[in-house]
Amino acid sequence: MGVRSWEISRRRFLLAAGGGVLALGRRASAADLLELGSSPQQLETPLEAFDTLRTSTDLFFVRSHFRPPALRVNRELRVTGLVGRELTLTAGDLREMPATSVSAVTICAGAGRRFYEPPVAGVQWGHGAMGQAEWRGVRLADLLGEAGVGKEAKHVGLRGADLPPLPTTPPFYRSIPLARALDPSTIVAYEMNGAPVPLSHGGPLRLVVPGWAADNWTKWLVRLDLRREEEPGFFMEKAYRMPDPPVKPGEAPPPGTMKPVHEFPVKSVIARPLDGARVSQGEREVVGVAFSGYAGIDRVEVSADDGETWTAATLEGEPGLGRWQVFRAKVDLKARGTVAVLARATDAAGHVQPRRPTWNPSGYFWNGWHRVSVEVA
Amino acid sequence: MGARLRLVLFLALMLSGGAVFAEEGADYVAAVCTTCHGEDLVHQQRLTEAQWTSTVDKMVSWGAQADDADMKKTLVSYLSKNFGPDAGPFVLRRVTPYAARMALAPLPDGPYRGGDATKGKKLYDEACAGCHGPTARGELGMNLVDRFFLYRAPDFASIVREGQGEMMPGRPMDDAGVADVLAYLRELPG
Repeated sequence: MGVRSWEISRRRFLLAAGGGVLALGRRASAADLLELGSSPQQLETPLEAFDTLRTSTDLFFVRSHFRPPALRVNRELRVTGLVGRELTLTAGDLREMPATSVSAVTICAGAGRRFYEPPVAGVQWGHGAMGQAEWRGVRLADLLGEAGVGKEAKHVGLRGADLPPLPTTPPFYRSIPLARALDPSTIVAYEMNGAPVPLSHGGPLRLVVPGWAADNWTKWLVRLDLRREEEPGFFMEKAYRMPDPPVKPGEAPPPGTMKPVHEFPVKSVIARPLDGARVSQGEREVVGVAFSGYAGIDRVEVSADDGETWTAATLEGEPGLGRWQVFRAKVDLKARGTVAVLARATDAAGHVQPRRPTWNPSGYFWNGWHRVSVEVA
Repeated sequence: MGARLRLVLFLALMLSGGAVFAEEGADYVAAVCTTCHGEDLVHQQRLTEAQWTSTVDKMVSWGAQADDADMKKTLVSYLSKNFGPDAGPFVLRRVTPYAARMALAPLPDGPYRGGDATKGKKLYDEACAGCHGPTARGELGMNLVDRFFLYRAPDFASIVREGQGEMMPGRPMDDAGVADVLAYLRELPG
């Protein structure tokens, strides 16, 4: 096995090295990920990639709480707790079951954290902690049906194989309510964009919860535990919560007001033009993506005068909850000088993207109008 | 002593004292924080002294070896001075998708293949268990069970031999020894 796979990886290396040189020659920025963490990996997708309905796996953002486990294609997933019978399954077993596919936005709850004032602790994500992929797998409802859900069960505990580095560090254990687990859009995925889910994205099995922030999309899934209560522990009780009602910037929320982050809010992000771009006068295209965790997108508007007037954009792709559409609009850049280009989205449930979102202590769910400055020459 | 000389001496003391202080703080970050994450995660933060204090407290409660009061003070002071709200922009490094993928990809075992897990356990107990714990699930040093780096034998060998950071000293170990330890660690269930 050793020699053969080494030959293959050598060939891949040469091919990839050649590709790398070409990419650099073409345009380094659009082909590279932006690194916020080397170990464990925290990687942003470059903004230029947000002009398509499907983000390539190569450029898909990576967020890791801990360094990843070993890649084991036959890693077992166990269904335990309040079930009729416990199950132990591998990706191979899941491939024998009826398959379903979903195109959905994965977005880190902390995407845009670095735009909050005053600053808060955490990975200082810009807009790049998001992507849209095609996920293929088995409905979680089908798996739970196979196991038989006990009457007492109210939550599904989620555990991945990413053990913390030290025994004193809390493990990344989470849970989702049973109703959300039984929603037909929730799947246990073994494929991402037509290939087995890679290690950095949670392979061999990852949970997909369209419309909900990525902290619920457990990577390296090894355990689904049917339970009465929410999973206890730091990552459920303390992290991934926002104050409701909101607090003033910098203020500590009163106890008992922190609610879990679930549906991500309506948002649009501009892929082109890039901030600081120099363009000539005349009609220019503004392109980006828009999505909401509550409903499909109703409309996207674009402004080239810092929000004085707005132009409706055209939308590409199927609207859907937790799924993005590409928007395009033409703006006429008549005057020379610096111009602010803005985008704002509205979803079918009536949520409008705000100019600035409300500050919160962990810097979650930034969805302010994306503003790019261009030099018109 | 003239006022001018006194001023020069005072400034020299202040500057050298500051430099020693900063260096010590940076050394603590390298030694204490990197068990769990890179220094880059520290450098990108823009936090007040109060925020740094609660961050360091949280990390100590999670197992960071900075529970000594003086050390914590030095660390918080270094962090608030260098990575405060006004520290300026953090420049993100660009990484090719190929490099990102290769950082996690399994590597051929090469000279470290075919180890003996029984011999490996003995060697582990003697050389590694002191810091990584009797079950290899981490103590002072990090967890070594079910990790991607167990399938990157050349990297693993160089960390064993050359050490990593200030906490992990290098030690001489021949190829067969590394192969044996790897064989043992790979057998431990996740």
